[in-house]
Amino acid sequence: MKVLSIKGLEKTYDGKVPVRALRGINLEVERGEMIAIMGPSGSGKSTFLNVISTIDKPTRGRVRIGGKNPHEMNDEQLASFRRNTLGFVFQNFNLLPTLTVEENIMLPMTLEKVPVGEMKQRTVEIAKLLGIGKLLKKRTYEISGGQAQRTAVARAVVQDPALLLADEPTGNLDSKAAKDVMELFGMLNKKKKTTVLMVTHDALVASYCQKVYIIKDGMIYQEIVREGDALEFQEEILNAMTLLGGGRHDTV
Amino acid sequence: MTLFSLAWKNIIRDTKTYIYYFANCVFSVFIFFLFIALAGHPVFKVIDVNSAMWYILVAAQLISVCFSLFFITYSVKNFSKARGKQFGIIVIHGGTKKQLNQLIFYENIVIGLGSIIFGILIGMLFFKIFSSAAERVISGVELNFYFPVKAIIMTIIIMGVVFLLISVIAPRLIRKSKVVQLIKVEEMAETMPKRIGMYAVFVISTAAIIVGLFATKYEDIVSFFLLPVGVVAVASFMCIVVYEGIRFYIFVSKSKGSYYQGTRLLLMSNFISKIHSNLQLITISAVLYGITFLSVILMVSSTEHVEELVRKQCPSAYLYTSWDESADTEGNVELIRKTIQDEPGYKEIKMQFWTNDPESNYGSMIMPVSMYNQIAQFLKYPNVRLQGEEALVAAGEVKQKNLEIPDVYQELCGQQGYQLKKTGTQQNLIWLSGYLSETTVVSDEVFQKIEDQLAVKEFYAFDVNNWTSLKDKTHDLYQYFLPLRDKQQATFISDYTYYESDRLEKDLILYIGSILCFSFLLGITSFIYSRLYSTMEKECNYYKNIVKIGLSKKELSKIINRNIGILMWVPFVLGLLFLWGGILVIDRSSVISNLSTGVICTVIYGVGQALMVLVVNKMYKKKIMEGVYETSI
Repeated sequence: MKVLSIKGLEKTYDGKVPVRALRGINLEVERGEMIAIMGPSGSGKSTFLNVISTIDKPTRGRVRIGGKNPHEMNDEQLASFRRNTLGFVFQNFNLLPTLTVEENIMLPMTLEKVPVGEMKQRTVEIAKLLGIGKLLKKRTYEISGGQAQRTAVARAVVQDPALLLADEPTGNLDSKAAKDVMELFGMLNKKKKTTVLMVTHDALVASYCQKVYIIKDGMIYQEIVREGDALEFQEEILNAMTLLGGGRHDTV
Repeated sequence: MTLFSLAWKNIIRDTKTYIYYFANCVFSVFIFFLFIALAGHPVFKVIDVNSAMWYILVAAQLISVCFSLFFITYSVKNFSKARGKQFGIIVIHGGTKKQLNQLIFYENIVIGLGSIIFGILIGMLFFKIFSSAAERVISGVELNFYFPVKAIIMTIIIMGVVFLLISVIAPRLIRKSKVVQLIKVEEMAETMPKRIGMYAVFVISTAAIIVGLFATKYEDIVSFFLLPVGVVAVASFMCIVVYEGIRFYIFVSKSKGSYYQGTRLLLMSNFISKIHSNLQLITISAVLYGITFLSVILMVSSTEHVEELVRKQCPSAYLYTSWDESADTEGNVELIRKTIQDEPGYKEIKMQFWTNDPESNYGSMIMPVSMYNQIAQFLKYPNVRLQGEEALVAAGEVKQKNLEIPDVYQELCGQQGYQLKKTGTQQNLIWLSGYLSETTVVSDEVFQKIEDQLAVKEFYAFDVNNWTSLKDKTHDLYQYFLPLRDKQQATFISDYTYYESDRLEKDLILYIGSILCFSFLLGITSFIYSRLYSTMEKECNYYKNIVKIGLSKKELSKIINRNIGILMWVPFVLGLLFLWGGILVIDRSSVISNLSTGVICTVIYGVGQALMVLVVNKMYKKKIMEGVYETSI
């Protein structure tokens, strides 16, 4: 079953010189897949994520998530869509500093007006699953970067979204914390069949996924499917990025 | 967790962010409470509902409410802007516009309620101090302590409505279509303001003023709107001057190449990147500076010159005239004489004015130069020599324009073969301003020829040196003559009566005006604080990166000095221009000159502003340096 279906997606930024950031992307993601989007700086991958995540609107083309086109929705429908169908994890966590870990996780349920008892139960469950059960009463400045990202992941998945989007989720983490977060994604993907689509510069991070799409100049340049182990997959990604024309400096 | 508990947690757990906004709100409530508590004092209960005093007290409350509304709305707009990212997080996680509006509404209501409680409590604490200050400033008023129940209730109701309005307006100040994008960028780049907008506002408001000045038929309605439209015109003009000034400076320095030298590029590009907020800050500060400066000068000047002003309008301490033959003129004059003859500098004079209308006690008068010179001697004016057909026209009211010999006297003299020629005018009054029209003074020779066709009116003037301190004697005389005036038999006029009411009005204006001006100055300080400190973290990060590529401490210090200089001196200088423009316009129609007070106050303002710039610069630079170099300096 297709969770994400994109046809002819284009995005042009108006200005004195219009910039065509996306030039017609076609992509489909099945339920339970874990996909990475890679590409050199300025290739359009962040724009691509912004359009899918409804932060930005496409100039042309169609996006369907869970069978619905979010860009045709009114405010109420879009808000509900964001609460129930999408989950978002940011590079810099974007936790609310005035709330505790528990309250940050509860935020989407608060907006959905879920009963308090159910809210707390689901929060405890997801926190336990992600290994942050003991941090629920802590404030965001009292936890480490890795713990903050786990909290952000918990917030993103607490409503069981059809699609989990991640924008450089390990960008602000050290290698150990990054590994922990990627294993989390892997666990969610395996256990809960969460469909994940992430943007990353990191070939190691991308190697946790089943497929990698490389974007170049606003179009899908290459699709790499994992067939062997993670190390081979990572090497294949690095070679593809090198062939792309960027050096190894464009990937980590 | 509900939206209300989210709002509550936001406030309680992030006091550093909310305290500045809360302080502004408490201050606004405090100022309003002070005014309404003063107005409700039992001592002011005797004020007539339609008297000038009453209008002053009502105007003060109205201005306070309007300023609070504007001040708090501006604060909340900046405050909301700084929290854009938080709103973006809520929206991306599925918050609807309605939920966002509700969150902001709850936050503002909580802060509003807290402000009302604290504002009233602080007002009650300081009311005694402000009452004592009011007693000192407003002479003749005793403000004993009273418990201002009505003031408390009115403050809760009126400021409650203000905060309710703000809670409804505040969510609309956030452009929700852009909010979700704030997650990805630290802040939206400020676009250059549209010049056509600024020019359009200026042209329309100026045109409205010009049309209003000529629409004498609708004077009452027009005069009500003239002031706010005037403020809009001045504000838009200042905005244009600053904006075009900056563009011109950049154009010139770019064409010369100096733009790219030294720290100019960094300074101007950083300034331009926040052009919208900078222009807003400079314009609002300039307008507030201008209004405050001009108001202080006018208030101080008019309070200092009350005595002089009264004497210009009524040149003798006491005036008496009988309107009816039934009045006991001799007895009344004797009563006045006996009451004040022992006062230092006592003198009296019997003035005679002639008129062609025997039934009228007012209107145009005529007199021989010998009579005029007697009056001139009494009032210490220069003597006049008139021969033949020469005539002098003396004004009947202050700053009377177009003084000409009335046709009726020209014709009267013409019948005797004389063609009067006006050789001069006299603006100094010889009787109460507005009581008579102009008085034509002719040579004794001409007067003798027309005297039998005129009716004589007798006026008595008395003067003493210490008239400002004869409260009881004046009051007794006034009470005696009041029934005679009511019966239209005679009238008694005293300088002291005008002095007392003018003094009270101007002292009240001074007291209220000082508090309002202080509020405005605090508002400017608040706006500058908001602009500097709300962006401090971003500025530190900005300069940190540039330091890494070679900006020295000295150069950074220079940039900060110039930035603060632009933000604080430009509005100050514009405010001074507004002040001096206002003084020159007002002095043309004012009885007393405000020039000397203006000069003294300008010097004081300049010194005060220089000190403030020094202090702000030092404190801000220290914080920036600490943030950039991450060391204590």
